[in-house]
Amino acid sequence: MAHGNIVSTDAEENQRTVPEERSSDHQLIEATKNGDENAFAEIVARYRNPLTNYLYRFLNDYEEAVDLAQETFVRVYFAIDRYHTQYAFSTYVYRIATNLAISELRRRKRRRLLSLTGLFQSDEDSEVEFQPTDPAALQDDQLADDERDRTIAKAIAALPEKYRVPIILRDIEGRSYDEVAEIMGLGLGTTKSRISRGRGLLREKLEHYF
Amino acid sequence: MSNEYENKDQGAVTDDERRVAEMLGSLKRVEAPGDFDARVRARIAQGRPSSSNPTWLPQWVRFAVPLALVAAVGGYFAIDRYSRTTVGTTNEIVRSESAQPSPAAQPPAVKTATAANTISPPTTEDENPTVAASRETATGRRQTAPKPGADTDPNGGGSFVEAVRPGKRLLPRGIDPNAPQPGRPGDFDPNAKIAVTEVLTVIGVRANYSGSKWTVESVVDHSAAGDAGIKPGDVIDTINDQKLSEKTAFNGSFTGRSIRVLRGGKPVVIDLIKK
Repeated sequence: MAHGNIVSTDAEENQRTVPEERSSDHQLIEATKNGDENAFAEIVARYRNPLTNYLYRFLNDYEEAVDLAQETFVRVYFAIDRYHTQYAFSTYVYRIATNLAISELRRRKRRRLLSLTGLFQSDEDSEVEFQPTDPAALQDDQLADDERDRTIAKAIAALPEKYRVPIILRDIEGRSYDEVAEIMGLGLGTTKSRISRGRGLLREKLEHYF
Repeated sequence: MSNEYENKDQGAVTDDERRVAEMLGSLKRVEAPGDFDARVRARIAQGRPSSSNPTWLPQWVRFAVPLALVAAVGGYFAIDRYSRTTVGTTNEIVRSESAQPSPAAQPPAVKTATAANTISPPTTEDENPTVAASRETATGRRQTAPKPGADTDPNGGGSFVEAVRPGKRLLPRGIDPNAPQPGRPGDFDPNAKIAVTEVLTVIGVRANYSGSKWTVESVVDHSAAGDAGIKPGDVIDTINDQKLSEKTAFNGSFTGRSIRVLRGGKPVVIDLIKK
């Protein structure tokens, strides 16, 4: 598992898509359709960090997250003529990224299933091998914080997909309930229920930190 | 940060949920690497998304192809097994037909068996069905070798269905095989009574009981009574020395030995045994 560029939480410019930005997104999309490469570069610059962070929390693998974030933009580029502006562009790209991430997880499961040696190997990315660390054993604060983040990341990665996606979108990426519901293609009530249930599962896994 | 949007549209949440949301919101964020844009442009320049699933190959093909292969292999073995069973049965029938020697050319079965045991080298039945059939005859498994001159069907006779059909009952000439058949001798009750009219009918006499006597009305030609000389008008007095009344009955094991009639008032004894 790779831990990528961990930075502070002040990257507010990409945290939420406000209505003004959405209209700007649409303008950039239209410009890209007309052959403006700089417009597409602006889209990439606007969403590369949120997507990378989202996919990193989803997969708990930085290299894979970067690869899938790039793949998301490639797909957006080649399908840009089919994009309809009735939905927010942020919803559109998160949906593509989510589908890619879910496909990647299933591919991993198949690899584990097909690999005979995999039966005897320890898989750090395994969803069932979550073991919380005892925070009392770590004296240094910075070390304790890093260890806590890794433990939380493992706990998130150990969640079932149907809870992991809305939890990350809502509590880490800060998307609204409505947008999370649109990205997942679910009703609002179901989305809220899954987020609540996912928080409850995380609460059980991370009880040492409460 | 999480509290900012937590209060916007979440509504009522428990304290535990709120703490979990705050913990997740406080996680350090990761950023894309510096060459992210360049790598995206490079992949776009390659011309198509690096999809793990080729777009020209439908998703269902990945499942349909293995299933089709399994079905094809399984079907092959099933058909092969079925055809072997069918060919085996056909060979059995052909072998049976070949084993029947023609009346003119084949000697009796015993001689063929001797020749097969003493002359023929070991061989498979498929190579020489006639020899194989002869060997069966020698070992006693085939007991019905046709004799010279027997009525054989030149087109090959018999079939499996005919062979397993229950044997026909042999009935005397003139008996309708479709009519209800009488039971076997053991089915008769020897203690049952036989009325005098039945006895008279059996021996060919039709008689009328009137005036406390049985008077012969007619006699069937070539019947036991007719051949014995009983004539119409005779009054039957006794059968087996037993006086007859209207309701005289005989045992089931009755055998007619003699009958005495009054002809013109004179008794005449007629011996049925002689006839």
